Amino acid sequence: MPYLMLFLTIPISVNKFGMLIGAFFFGMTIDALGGSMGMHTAACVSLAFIKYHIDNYFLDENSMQLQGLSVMHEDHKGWQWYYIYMFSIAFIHHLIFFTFDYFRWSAFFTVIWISFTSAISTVFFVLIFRMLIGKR
Amino acid sequence: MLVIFRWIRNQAHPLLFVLLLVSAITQIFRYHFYQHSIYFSQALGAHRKLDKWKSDVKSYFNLKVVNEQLIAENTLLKQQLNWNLTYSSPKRDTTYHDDKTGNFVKYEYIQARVIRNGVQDQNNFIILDRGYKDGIKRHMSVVSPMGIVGVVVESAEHYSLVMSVLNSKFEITPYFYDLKTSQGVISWNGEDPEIVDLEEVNRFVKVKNGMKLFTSNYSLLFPAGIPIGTIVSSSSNLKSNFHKIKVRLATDFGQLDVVTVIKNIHQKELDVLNQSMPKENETNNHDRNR
Repeated sequence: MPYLMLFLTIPISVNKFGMLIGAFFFGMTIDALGGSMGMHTAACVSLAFIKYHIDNYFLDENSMQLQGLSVMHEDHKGWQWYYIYMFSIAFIHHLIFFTFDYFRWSAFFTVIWISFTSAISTVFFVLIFRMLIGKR
Repeated sequence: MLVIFRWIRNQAHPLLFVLLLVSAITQIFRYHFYQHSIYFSQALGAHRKLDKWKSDVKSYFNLKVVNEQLIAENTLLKQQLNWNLTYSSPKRDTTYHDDKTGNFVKYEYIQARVIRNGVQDQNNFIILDRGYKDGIKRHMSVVSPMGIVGVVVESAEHYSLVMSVLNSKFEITPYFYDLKTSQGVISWNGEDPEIVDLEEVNRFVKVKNGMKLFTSNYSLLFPAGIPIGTIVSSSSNLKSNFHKIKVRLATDFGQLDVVTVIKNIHQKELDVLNQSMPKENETNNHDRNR
């Protein structure tokens, strides 16, 4: 689900309420187009909420301002942190999405495994996009 | 009120998140058949569980009423028990006739609550919350749902005094259901409130552990067939003609609550006959309920 790249390109200084509402309508649009009513909405809203806390945890706003960055970038803390950041965001999104998709306890480990592999492939896709489009 | 508004303002971000998430999940349950069915069955199960809790709580608070209904029903049923019924009298004596059930009965029942009870002393007495205004008189027998309790020795206006089985003066002859015989005397030695002694049972009676003892039909106070207890140990030797038997009481005197006072309808006549009986030995104990 490479649309997660959109989340990665939204500046961290954006209003957190606007982020939530925007994620809601964004997810609803994807749902309406894909016919999976509610699932992407739930995942995107949850991600928008959690991403706010992840940003607080991962990113150092002062040094980012000095570096002239508005989003998480390899230059900020090194490429390892960049991939961890990207992977954790993708993983959380997929975890919520597949939880609602499978929606039973017996599929608990399946959900975790699928989320893990999908998150890795999402990171991979995002990398390819970045190579094609350019490094920003 | 202001505190609530302030709280909402401070927690606006999580609250907005929960609101949007709930609306998204509502969509999921609404448009996806599989998720809907799972949610629906879970909700149904939870609802059923809640209903059960509710009815449990309700029935707990109803217990008192139910208890009283059961006591009343038990009284009614006891009127119809076999050992209460008597042969219809040849001359159609109407004093035996019970208007409620149409049966001929020998006993009347009065429900009472134990308000004072003890098992510590050598001579224990029980106090009931019913007295002669409710029809309780001397020499009436008292039983509990578990078994025999004692005999009324004194009755005041609203209360009465009962000599419990756990009293050194109380004696009763048991009926061995397995042997179809009545023998011996049960009395308490004042030690264990669960165990009484059974003496004067002939050595040749084949007593076994676990035999059940009931009140005998020769008793003038107790109706026949009320549980007394179970034999837990018996020993005999050649020196003595009698068994030494320990009996575990059927009644748990620690948890007596509702008891039934049994009134023999013709107790007065029995008393008169008893007194006119030619006495062989003068040591005959008055409280002996043979």
